[in-house]
Order: sequence, then C-alpha cells, then structure tokens
Amino acid sequence: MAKSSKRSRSNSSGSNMKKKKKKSKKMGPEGVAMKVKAAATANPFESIRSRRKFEVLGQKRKGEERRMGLARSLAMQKRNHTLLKEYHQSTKSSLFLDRRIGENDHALDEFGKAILRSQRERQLNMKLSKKSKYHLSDGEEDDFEGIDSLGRDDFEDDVLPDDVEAEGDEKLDLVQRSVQIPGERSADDGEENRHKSKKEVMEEIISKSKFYKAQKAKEKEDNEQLVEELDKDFTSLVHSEALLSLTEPNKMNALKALVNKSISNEQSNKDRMSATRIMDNSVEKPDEYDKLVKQMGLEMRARPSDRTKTPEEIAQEEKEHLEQLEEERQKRMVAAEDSSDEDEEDSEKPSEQKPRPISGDDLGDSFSVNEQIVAKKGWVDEILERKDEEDSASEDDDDLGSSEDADEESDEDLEENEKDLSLKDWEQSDDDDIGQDSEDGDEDDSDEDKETDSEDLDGVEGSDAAVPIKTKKDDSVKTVKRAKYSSDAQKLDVGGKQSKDLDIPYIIEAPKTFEELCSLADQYSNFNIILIISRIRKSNPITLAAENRKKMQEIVVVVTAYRGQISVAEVTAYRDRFLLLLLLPIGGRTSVAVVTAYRGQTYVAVVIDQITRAVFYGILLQYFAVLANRKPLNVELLNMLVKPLVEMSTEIPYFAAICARRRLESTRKQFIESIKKSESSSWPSSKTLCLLRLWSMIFPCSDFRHPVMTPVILLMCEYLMRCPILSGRDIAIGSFLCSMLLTVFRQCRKFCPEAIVFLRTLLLATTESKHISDEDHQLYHLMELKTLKPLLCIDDAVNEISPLNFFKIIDMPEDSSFFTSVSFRASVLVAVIETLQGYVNVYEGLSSFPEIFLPILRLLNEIAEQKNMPNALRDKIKDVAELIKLKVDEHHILRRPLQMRKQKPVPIKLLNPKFEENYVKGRDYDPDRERADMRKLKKQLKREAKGAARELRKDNYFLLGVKEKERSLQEKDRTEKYGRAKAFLQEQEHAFKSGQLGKGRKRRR
Amino acid sequence: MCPFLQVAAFVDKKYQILNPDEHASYLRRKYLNPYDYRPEIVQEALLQIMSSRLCMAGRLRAVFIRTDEGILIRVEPQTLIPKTLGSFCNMMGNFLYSCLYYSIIHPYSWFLSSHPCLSLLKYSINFLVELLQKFSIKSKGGHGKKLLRLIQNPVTDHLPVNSRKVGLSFSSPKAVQISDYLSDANCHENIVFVVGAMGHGKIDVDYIDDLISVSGYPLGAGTCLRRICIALERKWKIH
Repeated sequence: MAKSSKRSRSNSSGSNMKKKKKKSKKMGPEGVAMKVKAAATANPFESIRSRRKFEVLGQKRKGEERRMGLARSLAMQKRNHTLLKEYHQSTKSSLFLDRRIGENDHALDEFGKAILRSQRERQLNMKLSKKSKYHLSDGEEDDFEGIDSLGRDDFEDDVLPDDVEAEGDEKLDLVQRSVQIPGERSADDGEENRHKSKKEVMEEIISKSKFYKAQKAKEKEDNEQLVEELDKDFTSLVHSEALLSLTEPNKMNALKALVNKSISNEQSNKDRMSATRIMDNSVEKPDEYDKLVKQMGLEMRARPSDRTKTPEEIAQEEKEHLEQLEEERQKRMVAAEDSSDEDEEDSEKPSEQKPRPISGDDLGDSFSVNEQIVAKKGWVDEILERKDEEDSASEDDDDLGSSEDADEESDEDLEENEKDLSLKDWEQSDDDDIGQDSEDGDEDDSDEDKETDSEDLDGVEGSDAAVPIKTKKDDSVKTVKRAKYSSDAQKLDVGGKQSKDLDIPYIIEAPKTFEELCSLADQYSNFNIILIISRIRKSNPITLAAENRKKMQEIVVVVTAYRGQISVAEVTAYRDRFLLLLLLPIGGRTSVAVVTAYRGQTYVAVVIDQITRAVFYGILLQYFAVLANRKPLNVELLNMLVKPLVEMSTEIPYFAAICARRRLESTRKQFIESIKKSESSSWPSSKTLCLLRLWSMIFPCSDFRHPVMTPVILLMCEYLMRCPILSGRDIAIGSFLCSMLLTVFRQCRKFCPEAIVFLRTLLLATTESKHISDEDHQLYHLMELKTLKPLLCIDDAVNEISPLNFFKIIDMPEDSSFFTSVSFRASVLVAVIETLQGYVNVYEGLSSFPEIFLPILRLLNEIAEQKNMPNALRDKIKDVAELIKLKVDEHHILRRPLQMRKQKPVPIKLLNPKFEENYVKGRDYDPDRERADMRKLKKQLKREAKGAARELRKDNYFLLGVKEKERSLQEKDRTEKYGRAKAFLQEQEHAFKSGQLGKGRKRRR
Repeated sequence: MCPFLQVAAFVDKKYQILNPDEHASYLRRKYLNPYDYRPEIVQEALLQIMSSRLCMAGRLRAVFIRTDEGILIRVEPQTLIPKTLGSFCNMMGNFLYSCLYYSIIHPYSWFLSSHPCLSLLKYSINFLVELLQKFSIKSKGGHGKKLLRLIQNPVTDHLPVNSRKVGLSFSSPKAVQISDYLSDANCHENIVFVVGAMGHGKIDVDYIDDLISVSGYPLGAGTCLRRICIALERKWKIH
C-alpha cells in the first residue's frame, strides 16, 4: 500500500519535473548554461594559467599557478545551479521539494537508486519488527559478543605465562604446563565452537589459581636462595681487609662474632630452614645483623666532622696549649731534683706536640702521628743517653755540655720541623740553624744542667752567638737596667735569680707599662725577646668577634692614651652604652680593672682583653721607638720586632692608626721647634726614620688618601724641603729619605717633586762649578735655606766604593771625618744615582717626564765628565743618563704639535638590515604576538569582506545577465508577435482592398 | 659591469642561495655547473665597497646588482653587509639569479645637491632570500628605511642622467691606470662602474660608454672595486 502510494507520488512529481524542465528549456538562461557546459571541454580560455613571478630552481608550489578561465567557468556553473534556481523560485509561492531517495544524487543510476530504496525499506521493516512484543530473537547478536570477549580473555592469559616461562626453571615449567594445558584446551574449544559451559569456566578459574600458587612458591624459594648468597658474601666481606679499615675495632669484634656464629649455625640453619621456613617468616625476630646495621648507621650520623676553626679559636687553643706547657714547667721547676731522664721525656712531649699544626680538617683520630712519635722515641732516647754520658763525663765543663746538649736538641728540632711542618716561627728555626754550628761564648758558668727547656733555650744561645752586636757590654748594661725594674710582673721566678740562664715562661701576662716590657725584655737576647712577644700574643688572643673589634678599639682609644702610659682613666660614657672605669697599671703594680656600669660583667673580660692587646701594642711600639733611638743601634732586634708589630697592626688596625697619628703629630711638632732653632740639625733622628719606615711597611702606600700614610709622606717631603744641608750626615739622611719615598711611590706612582729636587741638589753639590742657572733658581724658590757647598765634589782619586751602612752612619757624630772622606762621597753618589734611576723608572709614565728629568740629565753628563770620577761610578752615571735620554726621546716622539681644532669627518650612518634567519613568506615576524594576531585577524576580515563583495558583485552581474537575456527574449517574442499580427492585418487589409475575401487567403496558406 | 651568477633554489624545503660548497651535488643533478653560482664574490665586492672611505664619506650613491635572470636589486650605501659568508649564504641560499652589478659613484658636485641620497645596502644571504620574497629589506629600528629593494629593469632608468658608464673587463684592449683615468674624467659627470661579479665570463651590456682594463692580471671583483675606491678617494682627497 505504502509503496504504491509512494510510487504514484513519485510518478506525479516526475511528470511535474519533466514539465518544468521542458518549460525551463524553453527559457533562455537554461539554454545558455547548457551551451557553456557543452563547450567546457573545448573552451580555450580555460587553459590560460597565471604567470609565476620568479622561476626558482626546484620550486614546486601548488597555489602559485591557477587556471583562471577554468575557475571562471566553474563559478558560472555553480551559479547556474544555485543562484539561478533561487531566482526562478523567487516569484513562486509554493516550492517543490524532491525527497525521493537517491534522486538528488546525480552519480547514481536507476539501479543504484532502486537498491538504496529497497535497503531503506528493509530497515524500516526491521525497526517495526523489533518493536513488536512477541518477537522471538534467535540470539545471534548476543552470542557474537559473548564469545568474542571470552576468546580475548583466554588469549591474554596465555601470553602472560609465556613470559614468565622464559625466566623460570624447569620445575616451574612443569607446574605451569600442567596448569596451562586445560586453559589452552579451553581456549581452543572456545575458538572452535565459541560456547563454554559453566563447568568449563570454573575449571579455568581453578587452574588459574593453582598456577598462581605455584608461582608464589617459586618466588619464595628464589628469595631464600638470594638471602643465603648474601650471607655468604657478607661473611667473606667481614673477613676481608676493606671493612676492617672502615670500621672501629670493637665493631669489628661484634661483626666477627656474628659471622662466626652464623657460620657455625649455617649447617643447622640450612637443615632447619626447610622445616621452619614458614615459622621464620611469620615470626621475625630482631636479627643480630639488623641490630648491628642499625647501630652502625646511628654511629655514622653521630660523628660529623669538625668544622673549620676560626682564627679566634685557633688562638684560644694556642693559648691553652701554652698554659699547659707552663704548668708543666712550673711542676718541673718545683721537682727539680727528679732525674733528668724523666724531665727530658716530659719536655719531649710538648716539643713534639707544639710544632704540630692543627689543621681545621683534623679529626684528631689519625694514628699516623702517634706512630711517628713511637718511631722517633728510639732515636731520641739514644741521644738522651749519649747526653747523659756526656753530662757525667763533662761535669766540670758545664758550659760545653749544655751547649752540646742544646745543639743536639736543636738538631732534633730541626728535623722535626722538617717532618711535621712545624708552626714555629721562622725566626726560631733560623736561629736553630745558626745555633747548630755555633758555640755560645758569652753564657757563663751559671748554666745549670737541671734547667731543661733547652729546646727553647738553645735558640737563645744560638742567636746570641750569631749576633755579635750583642756584646758583653750590652749585657752588663742590661743587667744594670734589669736591677732597676722589679721583675714581679713576670711569673718567672727562677731559682738562679739574676743568673744568665734564662727561663722563659710560657704564659706571660701582657705587660701594662713600658717599664714592664723593658724589664721583661732587657734580660734576654734578641731572639728571646721575639719569642716572648709571640708568647704574649698567643696567651692574649683576641676573643672578640670581628665586628666588635672596631668598637672595642674605639673604646680603648677613648680610655687609654697612646703608649698605654696613662695611669688612671676617667669614667667615660661612651655612646650611651658603656660606662668604663679603667684603672690602668701604675708602675706595673695594678692590673687592669674595668667596671662597666651597663650590662654587667660580660663586657669586662672582653674589654680587658682588648685593652691589654692595645696597650701591649702601644708598649711594643714604644719599645721599638726607644730601641731605635738607642746608641748603638740594635738593628737585628729592630728588624725582628717589625714582624710582630706588623701582624698586630693588622689585628687592631684602628688603634694602630691612632698610635701612628699621635706619634706623627708629636714628631712634626718637634720638627717645627727644631727648625726654628737654626743652630741644631733638624734632620730626623734614627727613631723617626725607623718609625717612618715601619709605618710605610704597615700601612698601604698606594691609597690615594690614607689617615697615616698621607701625613707620613708629607712629613718626609717636608724634611727634604726644609732642612738645610750642612754636613755629609745630612746628605746621607736625606738620600735615605729619598729612597724611602721611592719605595712608597713605587706603588702609587704619585709625583714627588721634593725628592727629585733634593736629588738634583745633591748632584749639583757634586759639581765644582757653582753656576746656578735661571731655571735652577726657579727650582729653589721652593727650597728654603739651601746652602750649596760642593759637599759631594770628588776631588781625589777613589780607591773603592763600598756600600754605605746607613745605621752605622747615623750612629756617627756629625763632625766625624768620615763624612768628608772621598769614599763616603763616592758611596753617597752611588746611592743617589741608584735612587734616581728608581725614580726614572717610576715616573716614566708621566707626560711631563722630559721637563722633570732633562736638567738632571745635563747635570749627570757634567758629573760624568769629571776627571776624578771612579770608573764604576762613571758607568753607572752614564747608564742612568742614557736611560733618561731614551725615555725622554720616547716622550718627545709621542708628543704631537698643537693643531687647530680639526673636525673629524663624520661617516654616514650605517643601518643594519632587518631579516629573518629562515624567512617564510606570509608569516608575521612581529615579536608582539598579540599585535601579530590582531593584524592577522584584520587581514582575514578584510580579505573575507573583499571576497564577499566580489561574490555579490559577480552574483549581481550574473543575475543581470539572466534578466537581460529574459528581457531580450521577451522582446523578441513581442516583436515577433507584433510582426505576425501586423502581417495578418496587412494581409487582411490587402485582401479587403483587393476583394478576395477569404478564398484567396486560405488557399495561399 | 659583470653579471655574477647567484642562484636561489628551493632545496630541502627552504629557499637557499646556491653556493658550490653546499649544493654542488644538487646542481649537478640539475645539469648545472656549480661553479657558476658564486655568492661569495658578491659578498666580498659589497664588503669592499661598503667599508671604503668613499662610502663612509657619503660619496657613493647606490649599488645595483643584477642577476643573470634580470632581477635588479638596489643597495643603499648605508647598508651594513653581513660579515660572514655563512649568514650571507643562509640568506642567499635560495637564489638562482646571476646579477649584474654596478656601483654608482657620483661626483662631488652632484653629491652636494640635495638629491635624495640612495642608501647603501647591507647585505646578507638571508637577506637576499627574504628580499626575493618581499621585494625589499628594511633597516632595523624604527626608521624602516628600505636598504635593499627590487627595482624595475632596465638599470639605465635608475642611473643619473649625465653619467659616464665605465665597464671593467680584463679582455678589454684599452688598458689604463685607474687613477690617471679618473683624474682625466670630467668632474661634473657622475661615474658609473660596471663590474662583473661572476666566476667566469665577461659583462655583456650595451649601455656602457667605455670598456677599460685596469690591470694586466685578471683581478677579482673585490680587488677591482677596492682599486676604484682608492683611486676615487685619492682624487677627491678623502682621508
């Protein structure tokens, strides 16, 4: 029924279509379109392609070339199908829709359409039948699904065991196979008929569970095997050397015990294992091995390595060490009657320990040191024995014995030094060196064998021998001095009271006054003084944190006057924080007491410490100054004092600077006073010179402005400028100042006209001719009171030129004949020339170099011409003159004549091209993503808008064409109709007029 | 004037300037002689011109490059030419054009007149690749001045009106000392030199007034240009 109705409908619609088609065929546009279609293949315009812009080798671009004619005709066709239809429909009120299946698909032929239709019908039938209640399904679809899933399951299970199988052993294989076979079979079955009963399914499940159980058992076995292996390995490891070195002895014992037990138990364990395996596993007793492992882990954690020690800590340790030594010494002093062997051994230990450097990384548990001591002992003992023999042999000759004794010891010391990289000061080791082969001559008979500590003493003796300057006379002077001072400050209270055997305490209170220091120092030789100082420094370390240091120094400065000579300081409020009452030592009797009114006790120690430090520094500096003033000069000691002074200055730089400035101020005051009194020489004393030298070593010379160095330099320059040169001594001092300035300026390269002028003056003094040219006058307006005598004129032949010993010269009286001797003059000239050379080298970079040194060059040439000039000196002078000439020439070459201001040509501005590394046309390389996107969108919009406009335009054009065609057709029709009608009328009229109405016409037609 | 061969090609999905080191096998596959494609000659020539005092002094008007295929590129005197052939070649990689290559040097008087000056080209290979797709290369920075651009043939349209076009060729019978030749030249004329920047062959253009040979040896383009630059600097006392 339905079908028939459909068919009838389709038939009717088909007829409609035909009618319509016929109609449209008549219409013009349709006809035109048809024509286009027919001609499409042959249209030559369609073969026109767009031209490519560039022919690029290897380029294959799709979009580049287009067939424009073809595109045009395709567009036309499309419009015919869409726009034209719409246009025709636009005047209709009803719409015909063809919904027949396959009717709109032009690719289908009639048969295809029929198939589609029958398919659809069947589908509809199916739907209807499914909905019916009583429809009995044959279950086809359900079954398909079920079998599929089952089959897949089985397959996957099969794969897994296969993998395991590869690894497993034969046993497992057997188990597996037995397990697997039913599974496989079932899978096969499933594949074959795709049906499984419940029984089969259950079987499968059971076999699977069996398989898993077998696998578990296998794993367990494996584990046990592994544990056994590990045990074996562990025992072998315990017996091996590697672990031994890593663990402590007691741990090792525990380990071994454990291992032994396990070995003895091994057999039984193995036997038991199979039986009680389940028991073991279920009840896990804390294993001994586990305990051990835990212990070891804890141990490792509990012992972190020591951190690196701070300098303060190291200082503290040193102090403690010294304290300990002192204690021992005191003990020995009390029990002096003990056998010397014991004593020796006692003293041996500290000597062994003392030089050992304590590195920050030292864990304190390395055994090597101890071993070394043990090894050493034999040798030392030998020596001791030998010494004992000697002692007994040379009882009478104490001196010799002790000295030899000392020598032996020092030998040993040396070796220890080499081996242990001793901390001992270099001075000490040096002295040991000297002491080794020298015999002390001035130690007298009061030396006692019982007095040990020879290892320290030997250095003293040695140095005494090595420094011949220290004569008996010195000693006697010192003993006198020492008698003046009470030596109660030092704890040294030796049995042999004023004796020469000098026992230096390890712990020395820092002296509070200068007298104390003097009393402390004067009885000792140079080397021992240094030793004392270093011990004082060690026993009074700075315990403050670094940031506190400066503050503390300030306080100290406020409270103490420099040199530490103030007796009682006033109560001072300092920065609202400290209220200090400082009692400084009076004559060495009072020790420092500080009361802080603020924050109680904590500061007391700190402040005391700082103060003692600073005070000690002041005292030391004063001692240095006094020594430098003494006649004759103890140069050796001065040199040795420099090192501790420099070191201490770096520790308390602020205080050191204050001290230096105070001293400088007073020195300058003295200088001004002395220069007013013109009769006395105003050149600096040896003390001043030494201090100036010291400061230039302590403080940085190259700073642009330095609180100490700047005034020091100024003072030196002032000396050079204002002091009149009256004698040879003045010349010596002046040239010494010049060389000191040179060392200062070598670093900072500042220009110092005073030194240059002074040197030039000296050179001028060498010449006989007293001509002073104009430019020289210019020079001397700077210099006051330069009376030029030919002080340095060499008027005699010189035999030899010996280098000057400045300290010796300074000791000489001013009117000594040496200053007028020719050899002195020659030596001074050598010194001057050398200094000058230094200046030439330093100032070579100055652009005014030629102006500075050219006059000097002239002078030098003149001097070199003198007839009495010794050859060596002449060569030297010529060398310097050549050097100057060379440098001057260099400068002259570099100098350019003045030019009118010339404009440099300006080159055109160069621009960097902007391009991309891998340029792709069309990509936007704007780094601003947002902007690029926006631009892209805008571009797209514009393109679309343009495209739409173009389409509309073309549509309109197309419609216009269609309308035009319609209109022209209509027109044609109308004219035809009109013509026909007109022809008819004409014919009628003609017939009417001619009288052949009807007949003739009919016939004719 | 010398055409130099410089070829862009589409190799490895990129546009590259062909050079005989990298693309020899590619070129042979296409039955082309790899040694006809020599971008480094162009680069060297441009470097010589652009680093000369003449150019710095602003006496260079423009450099024109013409490829074998007739693409005409104008290089402004302000251009910084990329220094390495690597980057130059990266850029040039895609060219298949041989260029004729001119440098135009205008005399002093002409330079003084406030004619809009053509800027020097700076140049690198990427550059050319990009240039051939974009038709111009701008400068970095906000100026956006076009340093390189493609212009329309023939080149004579772009040369100044009263100019003397001098071609250089080793094979020319007229051998001159370049400095003498220049000092004889009329100083009110612009001078255009046409130098070949190719490995082999000679310039073959019809518009030159004079074809000279500046050395008894066959010199490279870079050397020729340097000689010309130095001679002009001497003449105009540019130091």
